Order: sequence, then C-alpha cells, then structure tokens
Amino acid sequence: MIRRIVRLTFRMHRFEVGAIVILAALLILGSIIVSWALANVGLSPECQRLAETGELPDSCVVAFETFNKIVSLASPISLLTTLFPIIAGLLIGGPIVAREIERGTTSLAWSLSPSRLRWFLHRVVPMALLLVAVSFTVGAAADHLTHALSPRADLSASFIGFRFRGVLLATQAFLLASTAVGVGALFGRAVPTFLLSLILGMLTIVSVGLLHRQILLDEAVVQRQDENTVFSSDDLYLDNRLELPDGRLVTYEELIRIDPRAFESEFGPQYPNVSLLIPGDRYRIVETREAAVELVLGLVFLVGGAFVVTRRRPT
Amino acid sequence: MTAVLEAHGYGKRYRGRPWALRGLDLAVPEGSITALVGPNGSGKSTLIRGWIGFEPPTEGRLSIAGIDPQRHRKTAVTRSGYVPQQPALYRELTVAEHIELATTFRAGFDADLARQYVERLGIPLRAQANQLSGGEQAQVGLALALGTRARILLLDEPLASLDPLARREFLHVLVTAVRGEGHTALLSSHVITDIEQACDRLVVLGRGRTLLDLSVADALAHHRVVEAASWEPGRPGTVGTFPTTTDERLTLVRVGASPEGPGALGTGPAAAPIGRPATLEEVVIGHLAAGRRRGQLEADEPVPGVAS
Repeated sequence: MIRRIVRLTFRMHRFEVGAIVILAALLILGSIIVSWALANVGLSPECQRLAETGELPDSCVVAFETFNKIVSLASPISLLTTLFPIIAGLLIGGPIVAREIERGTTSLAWSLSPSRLRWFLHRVVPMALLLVAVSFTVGAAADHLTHALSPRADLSASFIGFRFRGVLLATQAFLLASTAVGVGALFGRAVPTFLLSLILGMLTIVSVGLLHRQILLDEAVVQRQDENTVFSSDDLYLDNRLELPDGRLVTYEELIRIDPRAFESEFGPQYPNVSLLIPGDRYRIVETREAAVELVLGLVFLVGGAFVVTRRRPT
Repeated sequence: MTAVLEAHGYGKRYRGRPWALRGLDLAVPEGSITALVGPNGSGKSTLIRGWIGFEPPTEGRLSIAGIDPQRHRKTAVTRSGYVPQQPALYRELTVAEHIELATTFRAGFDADLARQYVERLGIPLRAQANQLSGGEQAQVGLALALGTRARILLLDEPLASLDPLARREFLHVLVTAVRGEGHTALLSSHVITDIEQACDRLVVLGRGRTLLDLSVADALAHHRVVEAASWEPGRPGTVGTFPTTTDERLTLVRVGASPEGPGALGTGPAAAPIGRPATLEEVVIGHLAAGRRRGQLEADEPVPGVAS
C-alpha cells in the first residue's frame, strides 16, 4: 500500500520530481567533478598555507593559478546550490495542495477519502521525504565542494560556507516547501502560492538567522584585535564591540551615549576594539540548533496546512 | 418511505452574496433516483455539496442517512459516492491509476467493480485522464463513485459536458447500478429529456427554494398545458406561463388532487379535459416561470417602513 501511495504521488507530481532530481544530479555531478579537478591540481598543503599568508613562492604559482581557474568554475555550482532549497522547496511544496484545489481534483479526492488528513499525509509525506533526501544529498555534495575549495579546513569544525552546505540546505528546503503547503491550503491558487510562500519562506529563514544571531551573540567568544591578530576563517564572525575600562563591551551607538567625547579624537575612540566570534569547533552545535528550529517551523506550517485542509471547501 | 437525504430549513449564503438557498425543506426517499433541476445559481450544487459535507449551512441543517454531514463528515463521505460538476481527474494519471488511487483513500473500495464499469463503457484503463473526452471523464467519475459501493450517490450535473450518446450510456450505467443494488441517487441536471427516462422523482429548485417536489409519474399525471390566451390568469391550478419557440405562450396548469395541492378542475370523469398533457420539460419550465414571477412580486413588494 505504501509503495502504491508513493508511486501514485510521484506520478502526479512527476514534473516537479523530475525537475528537482535532475537539478540535484547536475549539482552533485558538478560538485564531484570540480572537487576532483581541484584535488588533482597538486597544490601542496604548504602552498595552501603560504597562499593564505599572501607570501606565495614561485614554485607554487602555477598550481595556485590553475587552482583559482577551477575555483571560478565552481561559482555557478555554488550559486545554484545556494538557490537549490528555494527552487526545490517551492517546486515541491507549491503544487501539493494549491494545484489540487485549483484544478478541482480535491473534489474527487475528498469525496473518496473519508479522512482528509489521510489524503494530506499521502500527498505530503512522500514528497517531503524525497525533498529532504535530495536536498540532503545536495548539501553533502556542497560539503564535498567546500572541502575541495578549502582543503585545509576541517568542515565539522568550521563555519566556512555556513548555511550553504550540509544539513541546513535540507532543512531550508523543507521549511520553504512546508510554507508553500500551508499557504497553498489557504489560498488554493498555484501562482499566488509560489509568490507568497517565496516571500514568507524567505522572511522566516532570514528571521531564524537573525534570532539565532542574537542567541549566538550571548555565546560569543571575545577576541581582542591588534595589528598582529589573525582571524581564523573557521570561526563565525558576528560583530565588533569596544571594550570600556571597566570591561564592559559596547557598540559604537552605545559609546556615543556613554562618552560623547570619545569620538572627538581624529584617531577615533581610544578604546580597544574586540570581535565577537563563535569558534569553529562549535559549528556542529550551531548547525544542529538552526536545523532543528527550521525543521520545527516547517512542521508547524505543515500542521497549519493540515488544519486548513480539514476545514476548507474543496474548490 | 424512509428519507435518506433531508434538508430542514436549510439555508446557505456565501459572503457578500444573496442567499443561494433559504428555508429549504426536502426529503429524498431511499431507493429513488431523484432529479434535482433548476436554473444556474438555483443552489443545486450547493445543496449536493452540503450533503457531502463540503458546504456548511448558514442556517437549518442537512442530514444524509440520518447523520449531520458537518458534524460527521467522515461518515457522510463513507456513506456517499459523489460525482463533481466538473470532471476532476488527475491529468497525470491513467484511468487504472485513478482506481488504484481510490483504493488508497477508501477501505473497501471495489476496484474490480470500478474497472468493470470502465471497461463496459469502452474506456481504456491505460488511457491518461487528459486524453479522455469530457464524457469519458464523467464516466470514469461515475465508475469511481460506483466503486465506493456507497448506498447514496450524489451526482452534480454530470451530464452537462456529455454528447447525447454519452449521456444515454451514463444514465444506463447509473440506472442499472442503482436499481440493481437498491441504492439512492440524486442527480442534478439541466437535461430534462434524460431525466424523464432515468429518474422517478423530480425536485425543482428556483430562487433558492423548492418549487416542485413529487414523483415523475405524478408530475406528468397532474399537469397540463393550455394556450395562455385562452386561460384566465389566476384561475385555480394556474402554475406559470412561459413562451415556446414558436412565439406561442403556454400556461402550465395543475389538475386533479396532486400531492402538491388541489388543482384546476377538468380531468375528472365528468369533466372535459383541459389543454393537453404537459411534457416533463413543460412541467419544469412552468414551475421555474412561476418561481421567477413569485420572486419578482416579492422584490416589488414594498418593505414596511422603507420609503420607495
């Protein structure tokens, strides 16, 4: 029975399923090819280290230039990977309920199915699982590509490519798809559903990011800056603060209120500048927390969609 | 007579629009094939959708097989098979896949029976829904409704998009299935000639209310038409006057003691019959004309306390 439900659901949405599977396959293939090419350039770890300091010896120049040429090829793949959750989420989530209501097939389905919730689950669960599986694979491919672009980084302890690789691609796609399901249940029109859920879904993802940033600011490590400070690209930079003599950290705006004369000096305020960072080794915790929030919000939108479906008219 | 579909003071009003139906009392007897006839906007679809739980009433209540379809929608859906007004098939699926889909939705769906009906109508099971004509899509919709083995069938203008032959085939399948299984069917339609062959009961809706509700046999036995020019308006039994295609005007007259009330004299053994027997179409048109006239009179009536 489950196989039958999954097969029929995929048949109904074969255009959407085909489109995201093809797009994902292209991205995965592209990531693998570019990663393989980068790995075969022969840029030694020593050259990589020296490239980061800007003191590249002549023996590294050829390999480094080749490496950079291939990196430029990776840009479209990275861009499409970044857009993948939006494209896939809307393409999968938009039609599930909205198109059925628009085309009137809900009249048939809801008159055959005593439980609309069952109908909803039959449509949503296979598509959501497919979406999560495909976008998770794209996220893993993006991990692979990021590692090839930054070979010295340990990606499990690095914020390089944060939100554009790994499990977060899958949860973003899920959240956007769930938004489209909820909006579609409410409006029952495909085009308004795409537009509204694009706006609402993006707003939700951005809001999650902003709220998470507020939480992270409380958890941040303070790093004092001087001319010898070298920031690690593995850390997540959050913000700058000025350190008062009593140890308090304040923003520029707060400092203006506290000490308006601090800005009278032509060299700017004479307080030490500090950076607020999340160390790279906290990456997994931060990633998991954000993914969990997106997952929960996605489920909330799905529950909302199911609630509307059980109460609305079929057309 | 047990009624399986009932309306008690049922009213439905969509937001910002006039009442679609109001104060409707109706009872559809078990085992009957009842035709629901009325002009566009008379509330036929609203009523049918109300019985399957798709439209909550604004006032009054409906019942299907003794239950309130709003409170017990699952049971209402389980007890009914529904053919929607527009063919509502999934264009990406084949006919066979629609039958498969129905089995995933509904425990006890008789896929073999649905397949038999489809095959009997010569519709290929492997045909994609978007390759079927409107008539074939309606037939598939009927086969799916019959496959539910529900004892009550609600058919919302399924004949509208069908050519005459397809209509005949559709009704043949419907009548055979309903009569054979002792089911009850409610069929809304504009096509009165087909109704006469298939249905045993007639309900005419107009202006949001019931204009006529009696058996087809009684409707034919108790109505006659006379030339409007020879009939004094307001005489007992007058139902309504309507034009014909030949610029003639006819008046529908109720005769004898019909279930809808006393009519004009003229059909008793001692009396000369008046006019000629009305066709079912004339009965319907006459009552619709009367309903429209009543609506106009009501609209023209001054509302107390409101200056014109």
